[in-house]
Amino acid sequence: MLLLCLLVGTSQLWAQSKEVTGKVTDSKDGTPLAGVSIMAGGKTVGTTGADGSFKVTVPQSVKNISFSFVGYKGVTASIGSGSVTVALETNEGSLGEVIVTGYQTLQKKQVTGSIATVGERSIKNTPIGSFDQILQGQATGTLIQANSGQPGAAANVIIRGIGSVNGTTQPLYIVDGVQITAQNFSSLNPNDFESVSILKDASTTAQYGSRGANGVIVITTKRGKAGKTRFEYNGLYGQSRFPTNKLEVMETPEKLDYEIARGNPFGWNATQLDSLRRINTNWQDEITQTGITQSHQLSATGGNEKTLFYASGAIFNQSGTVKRTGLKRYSGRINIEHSATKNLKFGINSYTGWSDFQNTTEANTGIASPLNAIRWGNPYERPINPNTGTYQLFASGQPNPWQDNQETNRQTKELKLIANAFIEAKLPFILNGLSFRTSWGADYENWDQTLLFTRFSVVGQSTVGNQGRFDKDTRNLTRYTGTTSLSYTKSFKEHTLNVGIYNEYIQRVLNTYGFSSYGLTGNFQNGAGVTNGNPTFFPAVRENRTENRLLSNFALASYSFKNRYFFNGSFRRDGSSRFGANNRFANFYSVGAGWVISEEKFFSGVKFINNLKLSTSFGTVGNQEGIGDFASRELFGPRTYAGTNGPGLSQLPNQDLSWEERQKFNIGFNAVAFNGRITFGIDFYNEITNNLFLNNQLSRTTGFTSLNTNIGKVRNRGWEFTLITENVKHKNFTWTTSINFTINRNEILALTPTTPAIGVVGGTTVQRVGHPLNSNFLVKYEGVNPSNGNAVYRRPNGSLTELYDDVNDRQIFGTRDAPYFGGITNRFNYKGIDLSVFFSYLFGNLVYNNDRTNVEDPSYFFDNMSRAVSREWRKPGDITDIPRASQAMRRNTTRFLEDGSFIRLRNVQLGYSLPSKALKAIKLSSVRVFVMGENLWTGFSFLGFDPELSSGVLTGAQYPALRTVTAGLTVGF
Amino acid sequence: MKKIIYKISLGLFLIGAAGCKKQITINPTHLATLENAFKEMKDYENGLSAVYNSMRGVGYYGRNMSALPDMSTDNLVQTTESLVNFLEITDWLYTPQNGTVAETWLACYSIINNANIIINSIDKLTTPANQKQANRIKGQCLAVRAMVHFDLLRYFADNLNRNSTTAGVPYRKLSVLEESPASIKPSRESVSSNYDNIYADLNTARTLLSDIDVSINGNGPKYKIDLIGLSAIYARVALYAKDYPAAISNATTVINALPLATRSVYPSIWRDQSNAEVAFASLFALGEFASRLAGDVYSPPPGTNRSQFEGNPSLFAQIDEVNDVRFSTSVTRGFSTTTLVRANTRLVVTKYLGKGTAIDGIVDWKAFRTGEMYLIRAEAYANTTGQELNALADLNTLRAARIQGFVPGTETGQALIDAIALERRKELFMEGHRWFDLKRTSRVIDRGTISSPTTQSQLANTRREWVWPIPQGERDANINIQQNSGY
Repeated sequence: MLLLCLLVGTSQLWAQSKEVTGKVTDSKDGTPLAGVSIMAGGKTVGTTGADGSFKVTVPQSVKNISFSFVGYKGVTASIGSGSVTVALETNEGSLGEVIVTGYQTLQKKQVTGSIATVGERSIKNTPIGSFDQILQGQATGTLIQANSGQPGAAANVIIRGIGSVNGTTQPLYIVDGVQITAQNFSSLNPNDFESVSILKDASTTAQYGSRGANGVIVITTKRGKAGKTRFEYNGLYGQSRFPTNKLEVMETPEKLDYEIARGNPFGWNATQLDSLRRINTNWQDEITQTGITQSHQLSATGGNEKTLFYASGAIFNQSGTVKRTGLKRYSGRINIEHSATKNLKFGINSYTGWSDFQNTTEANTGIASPLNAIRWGNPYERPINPNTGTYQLFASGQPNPWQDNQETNRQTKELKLIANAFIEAKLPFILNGLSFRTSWGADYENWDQTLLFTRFSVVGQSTVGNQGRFDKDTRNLTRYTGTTSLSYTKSFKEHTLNVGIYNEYIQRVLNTYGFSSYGLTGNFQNGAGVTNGNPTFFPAVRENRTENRLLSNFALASYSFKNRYFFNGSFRRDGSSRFGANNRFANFYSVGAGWVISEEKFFSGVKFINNLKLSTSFGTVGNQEGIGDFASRELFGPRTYAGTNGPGLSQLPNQDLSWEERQKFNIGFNAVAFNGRITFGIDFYNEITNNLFLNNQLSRTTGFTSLNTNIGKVRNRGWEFTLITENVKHKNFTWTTSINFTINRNEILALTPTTPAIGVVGGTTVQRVGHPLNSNFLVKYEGVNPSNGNAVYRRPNGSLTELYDDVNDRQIFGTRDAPYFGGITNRFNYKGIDLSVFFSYLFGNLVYNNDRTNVEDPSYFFDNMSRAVSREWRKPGDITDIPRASQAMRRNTTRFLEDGSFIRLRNVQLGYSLPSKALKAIKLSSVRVFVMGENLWTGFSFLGFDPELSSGVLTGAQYPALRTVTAGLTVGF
Repeated sequence: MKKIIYKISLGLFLIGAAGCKKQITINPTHLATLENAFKEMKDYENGLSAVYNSMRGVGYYGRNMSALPDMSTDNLVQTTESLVNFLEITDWLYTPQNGTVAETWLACYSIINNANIIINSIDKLTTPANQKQANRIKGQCLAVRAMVHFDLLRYFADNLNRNSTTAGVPYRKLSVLEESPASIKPSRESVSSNYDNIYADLNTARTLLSDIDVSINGNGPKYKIDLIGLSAIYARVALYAKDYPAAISNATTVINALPLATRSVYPSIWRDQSNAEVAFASLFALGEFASRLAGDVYSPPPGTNRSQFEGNPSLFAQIDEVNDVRFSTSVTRGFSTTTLVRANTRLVVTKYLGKGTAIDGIVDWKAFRTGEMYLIRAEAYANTTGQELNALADLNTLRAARIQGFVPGTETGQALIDAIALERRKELFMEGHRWFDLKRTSRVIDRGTISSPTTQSQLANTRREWVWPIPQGERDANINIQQNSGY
């Protein structure tokens, strides 16, 4: 055989060739798939045409040809005597899966690093306004926590642990090559997304090396599919409800009894008490409602061999569970690509979205926030005073939650445009295999915020002139991304080489402008009502402009041998305008290797394992986001006094400030066994952030607390597991389970040299060497001394004390960021019926419940209190966990530290697809109806509405995750 | 044609790939850097705004130097309307971790730093032609530097005597831009050394402010420190230092320049309708710094109407409600700006209701007034052998100015000292003095019977809390700074 090869090799490579014909279709609905890549002997031999058919020429010796297509599982088929008919299945996660990394499209086999993918199926038709929230529990190493259930609220996404303190910890989001910010997801339409890849390690993030330190989420929107134009309609309708409350507050009888026990602070007399006892307002019910979600989308896809298009238009309308909150979104997309000649292709992806949010304040401790006021408002107060017909004025001075909800309007309208155009040219006349590509994209956002406090609102009556306030703020953000590359591909014998050199330029300009105006004295409770020309109602005007730029040059290379050994490497030099003149540029690199063990001869005896791959990568990636655009400069801001505006020092210079560098190591095993019945993956990673941006603590006698400096080191180290099993695979019934689980260990390795051993204390947390970031730092609360009702604390030496000492007695109690998390999905298919049940979970974190401090503090007894307070210590001998009311409550203790673990039934979906016979009868290509539940059940012990907190602390005013039941319909024609 | 496109694209790519530092050099447009912040004398003139502006924050005149010294004593009583945001301060529960303490420390040094930036660089642009202008700017900055260090001393030093060798505070003379910020780790100087520096700065300021181009405040309100304001600062410092001759002479300068207001004019001082008596005020105004002065004591606008503290009834029982103009100027019985009814016994603090007839709480902070100067001079005379009659005369002049039909008092000896102290409570109620007056005299607070939310009644003279702790953040960053004893 070897001899034969050598002999053949010397002659014309394709001398002995044969022709193979066939057709590729979608396994789901049998529609033809155009543009599917066909590979034989390690090289691409062609693609399918508009009708899914193909005709390729391959060497006589080739026995198998493989097919790959974005969003579908790759398939290898043997060449028989007749034509080859292949049905591709959509991605469920296997080694044949095709992955989009932004610059390249790879088979999973070729990947030497760690990439998680989320398929269209998990994204489509989910009644969530912001796409990043949908990702929760879907991918290993990716911790996603939404702090809010407010329609359109973004989630906090952490990939492989928190690796930065002052810099951003959010991943880089790329949509069709254009960088966008997480907040923008609320104005993007997730139904347009075809695939989502989460790039985690050094070799996969290398191409985004100047921005990829926190991982990269690459989203590709749908491309056209050649053939007859196909239309699809997706619609859904849902209802959301506010969850039950675990932090119960008092009802009228308890509250009045408590007040009287505490000395009747309002001096209620018997008559007053009698009438108050008849009122029992549930404030939560007053401002919450059943939220309604509606979504409609119509899309069209089609084209021919030369031109492909995808177009969609959508409406998403969601009202929140708190009154006067919601999101409306109208969006449209057109993606077109055209091959002018066989060597020249160009295309444009464009998106326009318009959204309108109405929201309420949350995650604060402000008394005027309705979500705080529902806890603090006394139950014997009423929304409206029945005698006057106006808002009830509370005896305690606490603002009326109903009043603020009704008399405040916070509205943001956003116009979002994303466009990306590319030209791709093959340059065979210079060198075979050489190609050139340039792509230029713009992300534009126009944001218009109106803040209205009528003169009947609490804020409006407390503002300049006391007659209401009208604010308008606009924000104009433009980010250009230009990437130009020359790449060269060469295959010879069993070797394949890919080399590319790239130049990338990114510019971000943000302009903001706004004003606050006052005196809504007349009928108009909007901008027309502002009283001008009256010195009592002085307006205030603001403007700002900031800009940053990134310039990168880099080279990527990959090499494979026998389609079994894969190597890649990258080197890049990046410059950022944020840093000091001599520190703008930094170099980053990566190397990776992959070995498909199952392709080896010695492995051919192992029959039950179909595919086994080992891969590893190492490299460095930079971070420079999250710090100010002029972070290295001394800055003087405008300061006004007595009508004169002059410069005041607002930031200290640090010319040495430079890139934060994340060093990433990854090693992973992937296996497919028992003919795909079991897919297993395990990854180990070790990531060290060097030159951490840290606040070097300064003597306050400088007038500043700290200076952002490149000092310190933090490590994230962890394991990621995925297991997909096809439990039952029967003609009519299938049951698939996917489980993912991640363990992440975060540890600070070094801090500033001047930092004392205690670490950097900030509020209730500490950053200390040898411990995770954001470790809880509190005095240990040990309950109440039964003899005097005093709070008892435990000192680090184990002894008990009644003396509160937050300098010497504070200790570390766990971390706020969950070290264990993941998701479990079960999918069942029976004939046309499909059911999926998806749980997400996290555990091992301890969170601080600041919300509780405000309803358990005995000093606040004139407002409503937690039910727990009724068991406070009253007399010697009382055994309780709540100290006497006459002692000042200390907040920084473990009394308010709680277990943050939870498991949530994130999504459950039941669907029915019409069989093809029925479809033919009604002349439609597909029909699916479904019902879906989001967050229907959550298991947790945390005392609040919801345990999902992005920062490990519940500050207050919680807007919990929406619990939604939806019914939907998809029709293809 | 196609080849030309390819060649052009390739050329562009190579140009791009070459890279260029210029492409990533951006200068801020809405903020200034050091090169363009101070280019001419006018910039220093404007830079004074940053100095005075920084004094209005909550860490200084916005709260901690204005309202807190009354909140933490027996001048005020916390009510059930309180948000209890300052219980650690008002009930003397603070530790080195206390946020308000840290905020005060930082705010003071921030003001000082703003002053030092001007003081240490203005000479570069000073010429014989603009010398007088430079004097006017630099003199004010020196006065601010001295005053703010003195205020730090009042909170953070234990013993305020002129020759005390106990720990004072670091006296900062260089701005942060003149040294490497991370290397600045000053130790505490002695109180005596602090006084030396304060006096030196005040004296230099006096020399400079005596030779200036144009009047600092003209005929308008004294929003900036001129020679009169400087004398007022000097008098207060000298009183604490028990430097009575200097206290007497400086107080006299202010008294002569700014006579006491009449009873009819007196209330309008608090409404910013009269400039009478005011030697230096920090401007709080709509459209510029619309912060509610003393809003943590009583925030009056209708939407808020929160009376978190009331005037201590035992103090107001000693003020003649009918004849003493200070009763009705300081508090109003049962005051409310909404339909909420408060008991007539509630002494709502209405000294800072607003300008004119406004009730928004936005009103100037009167940092130095002639009323205080009379009391400084009276106390200085009373402590000077043979000057008791002068002390009594000053006390009587003040009382006669405030109280309708006042019959001159005849106190002597300790009774006179006590009478002056009581008069300070009445005259300087809610003007940021009580805590410091107690600290430099009896060092005892007794609130008598207390009720929730107040948890502490007594502060004995042995308690550590008479001196604020050095903030833990400062201690962590600065190895050279020593903590006050007891913390």
